[in-house]
Amino acid sequence: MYLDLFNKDILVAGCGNSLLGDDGFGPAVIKSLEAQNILADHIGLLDAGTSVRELLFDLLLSSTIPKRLILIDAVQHSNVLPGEIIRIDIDQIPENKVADYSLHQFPTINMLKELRDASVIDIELYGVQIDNIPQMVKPGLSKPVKKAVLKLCNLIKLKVYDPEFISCNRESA
Amino acid sequence: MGKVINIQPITRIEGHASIHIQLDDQGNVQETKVAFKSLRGFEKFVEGKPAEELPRIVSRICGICPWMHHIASNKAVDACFKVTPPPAGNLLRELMLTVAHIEDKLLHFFFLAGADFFLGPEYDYSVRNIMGLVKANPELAQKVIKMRHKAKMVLDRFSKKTIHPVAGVPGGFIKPLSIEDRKIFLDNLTELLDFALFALEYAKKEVFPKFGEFYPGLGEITTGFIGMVDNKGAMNLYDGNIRLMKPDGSCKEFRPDEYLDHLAEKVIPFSYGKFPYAKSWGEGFSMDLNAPKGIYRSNTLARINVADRIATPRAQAELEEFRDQHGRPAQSTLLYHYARLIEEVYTCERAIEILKDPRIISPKIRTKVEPCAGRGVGCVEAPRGTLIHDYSTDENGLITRVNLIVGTTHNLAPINLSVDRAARDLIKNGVYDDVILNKIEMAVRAYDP
Repeated sequence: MYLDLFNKDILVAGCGNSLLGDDGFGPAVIKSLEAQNILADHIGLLDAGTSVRELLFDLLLSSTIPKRLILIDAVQHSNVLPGEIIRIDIDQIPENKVADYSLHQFPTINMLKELRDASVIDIELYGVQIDNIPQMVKPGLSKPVKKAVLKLCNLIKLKVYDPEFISCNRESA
Repeated sequence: MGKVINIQPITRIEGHASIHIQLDDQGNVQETKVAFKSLRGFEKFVEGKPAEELPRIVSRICGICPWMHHIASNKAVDACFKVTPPPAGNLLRELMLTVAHIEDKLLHFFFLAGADFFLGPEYDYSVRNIMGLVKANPELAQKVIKMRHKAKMVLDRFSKKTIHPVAGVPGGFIKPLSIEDRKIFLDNLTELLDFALFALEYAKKEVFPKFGEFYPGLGEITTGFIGMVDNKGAMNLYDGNIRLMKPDGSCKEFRPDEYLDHLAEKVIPFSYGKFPYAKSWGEGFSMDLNAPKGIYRSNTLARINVADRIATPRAQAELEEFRDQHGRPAQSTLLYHYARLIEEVYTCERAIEILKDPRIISPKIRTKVEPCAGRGVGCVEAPRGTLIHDYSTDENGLITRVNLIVGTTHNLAPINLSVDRAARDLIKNGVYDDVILNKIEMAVRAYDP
């Protein structure tokens, strides 16, 4: 259940709308990891869909939170090939004003920074370079992004069993 | 041509909402536009799909109101297939919808709009946020956090899937409520009601007086209103007729499946979202600030205005006090926040009523459905307004046509008017600063778009 995920050591959340082409990358990674059913109990998986802002909000305000948060999203950078996986440094994201009209505004870099700065959670953000996000509703990943699903699943599996990663200390994070 | 001020959020692909203010050569506001992006092409995409799949698909339309879309969709499919859920099925759906409202209102009032009121619009943007609020008033913030989790726990424990829910099904609900869960939920809801009453008293003392003092007339406009009422004219979030109120307070009521006789949508060049207006008023559509035509508002203030009464005692007492002070219809945009907290009391009381209803633990939660040709309109009140799902199916139960009117879209024209009002009142001779721009954003936030 959703709130149980906050008691996990590591939470892996996939963001994006699976109705909109490559934007469905994050949920597809979670679906694939769930189907493999090989992750230990201390690792939580969440298809955050279009509700990532609410998840971040809940994490910001909860007394019990995971030690590590791995967020997966689709991104559009220049000079990057479709399907390439990029580890994003939250501090490198431009310090622009991010509107706070409502929870409909996502992915909410400000909340990620607040979460990282105000709490003791360690956040890793992975993006896949999109090939195409359609203007109209159209589910289905492009070929290069579909390939990237397995690649990122393997990376996450290595990561969550890396002793150094697991031993992350809340106080020092 | 004067300067252009853009207040535009940064999001992954493009802005979901942006404010564009055109100044004239003297630095006064010539024109404002608030553009919203919306999920496009959804109606076409679902054509040909089995109707029973739609409740699961539509919960992906919106990350904030998935429950409301899910339940409106189930109601639309029920009507296409000509089935009525058993009482327990309807009560369970209403319970989930009501608790989703409780959670949403706490979040909005205290943490989205709250930073403006508790910290003030003059606060530095970098600390005028959720964590700033938590630091400024840790005791209150902790209370809100605890209560929000209590509401979330009800949705989570019972449905197992709070994001993109699947617990509602055509004909009813997927599982019955156990006696154990019922007791736990009642305890949670009782605490939530206590907190809702505390929150309203707190806001009456600490927040609402600031409206007149610091933000006189902010984004104030005069419009009609829309919302659902039951057959006795009382507010109802789950079922009933749609009531459309003119700015003078006169009302027309109609069944949800008659909405096309009363509402129409206008395509506006600068926005992907279509702007609904009151077709049945016969005056057309105009966003002229001095003579708006066909414009009505949805969301909390609208529901408070259109309802003759609220069918739960504590919320009714609060409504009476509200009307003594602000009349009916109340027009001030910032009163959306006051109405939001009255609704919070109502939703807590209503959820308790539902849980105490002996029919809710019945194991008969679903009526058998057979796909068939038909048309069905499912309507519920989402936090942001009257949500309409209108489906048609062929003889195999496959979707042939879909039309959606989403809560927020009712308010697209009013938000534009309120922002225009606020911008014209606050920006004079080219003088503006971050505090003024934030006040203009507050006119948007009141609607909780």
